[in-house]
Amino acid sequence: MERLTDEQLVGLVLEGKITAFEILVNRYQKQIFALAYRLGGDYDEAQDMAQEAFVRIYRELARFDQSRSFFSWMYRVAHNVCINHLHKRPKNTTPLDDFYMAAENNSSLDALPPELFEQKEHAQMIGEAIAALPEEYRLPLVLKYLEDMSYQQIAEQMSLPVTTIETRLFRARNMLKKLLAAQLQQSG
Amino acid sequence: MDCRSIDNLIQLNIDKQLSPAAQAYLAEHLAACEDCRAAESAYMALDALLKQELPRVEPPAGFSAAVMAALPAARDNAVVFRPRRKQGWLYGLAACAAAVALFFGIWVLEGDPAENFPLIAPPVIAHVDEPEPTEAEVATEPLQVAEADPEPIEPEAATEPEPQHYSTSTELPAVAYNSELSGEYAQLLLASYADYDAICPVINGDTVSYYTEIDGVKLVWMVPLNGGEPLFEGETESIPSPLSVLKAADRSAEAATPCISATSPDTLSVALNYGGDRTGLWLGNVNELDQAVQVDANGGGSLLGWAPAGNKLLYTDAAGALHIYYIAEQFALTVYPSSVHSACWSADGLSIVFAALGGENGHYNIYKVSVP
Repeated sequence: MERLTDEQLVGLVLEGKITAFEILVNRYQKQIFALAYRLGGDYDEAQDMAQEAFVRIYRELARFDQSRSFFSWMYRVAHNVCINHLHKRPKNTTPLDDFYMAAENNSSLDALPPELFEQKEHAQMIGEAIAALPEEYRLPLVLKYLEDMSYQQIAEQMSLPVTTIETRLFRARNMLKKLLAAQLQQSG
Repeated sequence: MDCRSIDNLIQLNIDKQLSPAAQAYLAEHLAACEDCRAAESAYMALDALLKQELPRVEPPAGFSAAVMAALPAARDNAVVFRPRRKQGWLYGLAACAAAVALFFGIWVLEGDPAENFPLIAPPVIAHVDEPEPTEAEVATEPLQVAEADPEPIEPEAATEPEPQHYSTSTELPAVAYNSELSGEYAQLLLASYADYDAICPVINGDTVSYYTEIDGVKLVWMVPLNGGEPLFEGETESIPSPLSVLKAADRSAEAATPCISATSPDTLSVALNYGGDRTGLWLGNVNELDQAVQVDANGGGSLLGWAPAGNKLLYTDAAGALHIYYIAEQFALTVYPSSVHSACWSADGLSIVFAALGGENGHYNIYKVSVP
């Protein structure tokens, strides 16, 4: 059963074969969890949000249009669930996206909990560099490195051709190469 | 050899996106070019740095079990699952098989076979200016509790920015061009912008039209086919799709695999640029398409076009490398190594003008290459 496509597994779930849904969970738990963590910035909360997302996906599965990409639909459902969850939470945690945005205002970096990064200075510079990227270049980069998405998955998620994603990653890396020249020299 | 195009190949290789042919091309270049080897080292170091420093997390052990345990409670509130008829995944698989069979099956065609594919709607001219989704499309409504008829979750459509009117008094971007050939295939840089893509060239006689989009406004430019200063022509409402310029069509839906098709000018043959398991360039007689044969292993790209005389084909592979296939000689030639977005033949079939990444600007530029 593990070799079935997402859409085939969805069909089985809708026939009542719940084990097919477990395969989908195993297949995408890493990416949905990474999404929840990127948005929430807290490991325990990411567990809650990711689980909530999968439950929501299960509940709404009958409404999935099987002519479309399951991954794209699933990801958007999960994204919506996480955002709605975060709106209800107390304002004392720092989502990673906020970290990247905060990197633009250097003063807020000192307020970040040190356990977020082991080498704060190193990561700080990388965070600043990523934050300096235009949004349309930052997002594919984050999706690729944080959530381990393929070009095709990123393209589906952003509703763009794969060649455009390729171009944006190319430009993002070129910009980062320039911004992080000193870092690369040290690590090289 | 043009080192400016190697940067993109290096990155694609790091991401394991290159075909074997492109990998071999890259390896050959790197073996001979110290500068590009240094660039490769820099990109690999950047890739390693990002993987090391960007926080990655794995879900805890038992996560999927916890999800499954939560499902029975969810089932009570779920949308009613309607048991599917035999039209489950088996039917879907049979439908795919039937579509492929129809695609390659026995057919008696009259006229242009590309117009007679069963279940095929006329090719849609896709506009290049697809709206770019932004983070603003993230939903902010409260979570919908599943009721008997919950609201469907639909991706939110991104809104297209209001195009700005582009008057002749507005400063146009500077455009660069070369007057000399450069690179291994003696390409001529016809147009390059520091901050914009130049795409979708169309040859009209001895001039080339191409397009840029600035602040949501589509602009058309013209440049002499043999090089010279590009001139601004004006605004336009739409940009032609790369496939419409080449008179090709995307048949991926019918073929159930990436597939671009193009009929020869004499309407007797069909060329197919396949991806997936059939990756490659295929040729067949229009009346015996099930006998189509693979003539080149490179393929899987989004472009395919017959030369006007029907003696050559241009096509791209998955990395966007541009190739030419000579029908009579049964010989393939690589014209450009990667990231070709759009292309067109000259009327005499001796030139190809194409948009590709290649310069340090990181944008698509317009090039011309002469082909024998």
